[in-house]
Amino acid sequence: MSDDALSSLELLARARDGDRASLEALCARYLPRLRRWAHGRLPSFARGPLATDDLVQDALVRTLAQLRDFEPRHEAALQAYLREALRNRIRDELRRAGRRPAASALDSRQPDAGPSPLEQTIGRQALERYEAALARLGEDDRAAIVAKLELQGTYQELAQSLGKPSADAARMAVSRALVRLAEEMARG
Amino acid sequence: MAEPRLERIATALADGTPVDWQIEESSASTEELPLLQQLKLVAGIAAAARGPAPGDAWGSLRLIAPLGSGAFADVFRAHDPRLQRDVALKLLRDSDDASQVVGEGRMLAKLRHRGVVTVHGADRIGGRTGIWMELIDGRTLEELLRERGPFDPKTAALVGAELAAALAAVHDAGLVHRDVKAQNAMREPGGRVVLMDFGVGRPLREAAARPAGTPLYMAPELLAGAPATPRSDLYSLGVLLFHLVTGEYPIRASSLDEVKQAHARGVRRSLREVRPGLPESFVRVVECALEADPQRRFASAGELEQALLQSVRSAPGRTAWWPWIAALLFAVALRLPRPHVDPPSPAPMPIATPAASVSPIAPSASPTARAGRPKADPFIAPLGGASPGGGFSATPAPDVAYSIDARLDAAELRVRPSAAVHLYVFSLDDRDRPALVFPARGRLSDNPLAPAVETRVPVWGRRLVAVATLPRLGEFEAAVARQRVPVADLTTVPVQDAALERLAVALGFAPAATGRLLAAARPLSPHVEMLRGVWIRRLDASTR
Repeated sequence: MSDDALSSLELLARARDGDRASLEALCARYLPRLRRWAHGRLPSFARGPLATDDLVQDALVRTLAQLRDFEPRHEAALQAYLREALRNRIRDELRRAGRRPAASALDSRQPDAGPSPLEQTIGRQALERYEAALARLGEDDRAAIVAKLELQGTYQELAQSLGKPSADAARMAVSRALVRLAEEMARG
Repeated sequence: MAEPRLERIATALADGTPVDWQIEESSASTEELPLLQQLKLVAGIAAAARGPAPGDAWGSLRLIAPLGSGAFADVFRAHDPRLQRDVALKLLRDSDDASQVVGEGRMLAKLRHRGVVTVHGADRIGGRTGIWMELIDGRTLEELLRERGPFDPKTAALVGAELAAALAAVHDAGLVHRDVKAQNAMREPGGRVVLMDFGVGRPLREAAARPAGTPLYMAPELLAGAPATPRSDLYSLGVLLFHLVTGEYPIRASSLDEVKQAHARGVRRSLREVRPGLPESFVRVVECALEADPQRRFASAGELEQALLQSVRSAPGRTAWWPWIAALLFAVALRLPRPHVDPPSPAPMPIATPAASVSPIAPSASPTARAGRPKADPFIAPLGGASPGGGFSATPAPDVAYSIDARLDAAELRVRPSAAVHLYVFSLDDRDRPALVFPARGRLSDNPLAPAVETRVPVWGRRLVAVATLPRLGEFEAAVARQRVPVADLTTVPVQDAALERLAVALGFAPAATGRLLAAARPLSPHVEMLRGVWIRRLDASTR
């Protein structure tokens, strides 16, 4: 069976058994959307195309290679987990960047530290409130919101990765998860 | 129950469909309102993750297709219904300096110069700052360099002179560009060179100490913390010229620190060493632009422009100037009296028998069709009498053979006439307006082409029309010389109406035929042609 036909959970199981090709297939599957996601989360100094790609790829490979104890219930949960790992990695990088001048590719612009585009759009406090509320949600709700809103998956993809019977069912799951998220955010 | 309304809004939010938050909030209950406000925040996150997409509206502009995505912005082809044309819309991701970007964009919108991309406007709409501008159909100099290898020095000098003229206009407007580099200069198929991407351009008086730009192109004083000035732009242009003729940079470094250290130690690679054999006049210009001390550089962009043009004029013989176009696009050989064809490389030159000879272009308006034209006409007279077919023919008739390769829009004609021939090559724009690409501006003395010698004629443009005559088209040349030509038009000379009329008359056509004269020219056939009277052939991309 080709890697394309395998589910992410099957690929993950093979990767855990040391199958390098499965690990690479998983990376190839998640890298594009996580790269796009990361772009909005990185301040401009780290957002050159090379810097973003390197950071996301490195975080993804490390996370997948070290995934021993996490048993995702479905693919969306794995995706949400990878997104969280990447968020942590970005946070670490930003702390580190605060202690040293950032490197930059010489054919791109000069480092220019500052808030990420997302922080600029909705504000740092609001973003922190969102992240905290997201973390308090149940695994399915969190996975649904991350997969649909943040990683821009389709409802069809979401139905498969959440184990829902149809795209409509996945759509309803996202809507309800969002309402619960709003309630959590309102609680502060 | 609050859920139905909230779920409906949450669904819209997840679907990416618009929500009228004002209406929803005004009709929300006190229970719903705080949740609605949180959903509104989440909508911002969703919109940021989604990013702009084709079909979206930004103000009155409608996004059509993505053109590119950089570290700081997404660029779209968009339609502007007010201008009734497609434009390039650059939507910035960052918004912390939105008012400054909008201000810069509006300053740039006041700048009109052929060598500077025309900015139509700038604004902040729906949380996204955008600048919309002229849509340039061309390739960046970096792309051209990667595809074709290093430029020959004359082409680099002419391109550099156009960019210097553009920078002069930018500086005259009180701006500095701050990011001059090969990726930010485009060349259109017609040969126009356009300075792009003023993403970091800002008013001179506000040029902050915060460095911005591309390290390898940045003047040493910028890396030391000095503000950007016109002379730091000239340094960047010097780097660009160095890069165009070598594919490399004056500083060899792999990190910003190494660039700084190299400048601090005064270590810079010499253009003479990186590419030996360049004309000394060209090397001197580049080295002067790259002086570490800004005061030792050219005083202005205009001065640099003139120095580059002078380097072209003082260069050695023209044949030696064009090796970079060795990937020959097409070759034309004009010969007398019978074809003796040297196959030009790389494509074989198709040869036909004399039976395949063709008549001159535009037979309906051939010179003889215009009764009453005196044979003393400066064009007709040297060609002799009327041919049996009713047209005019040189005696004996030259043959024309050529081969074409469609890969590039920079081309080289190889011409080996057996008699002195005057060649004029025009590039037509989308509206069929011609620009004279050969002889280049100030180079009328390149005509006539010497007999029995192969002359390499560089031309630029996707839609080219070649005119070959035995006599000099003196009145046309004089009319061109009288034109007030923008200083930026260095390699090509837009032919204005008065000169175009002189061209038509000189070629034996009615002045009214001017508009169609060149555009209606028949394409070069893949066969040997007899050159009878006026020889005009279209060399456009469709024939390549």
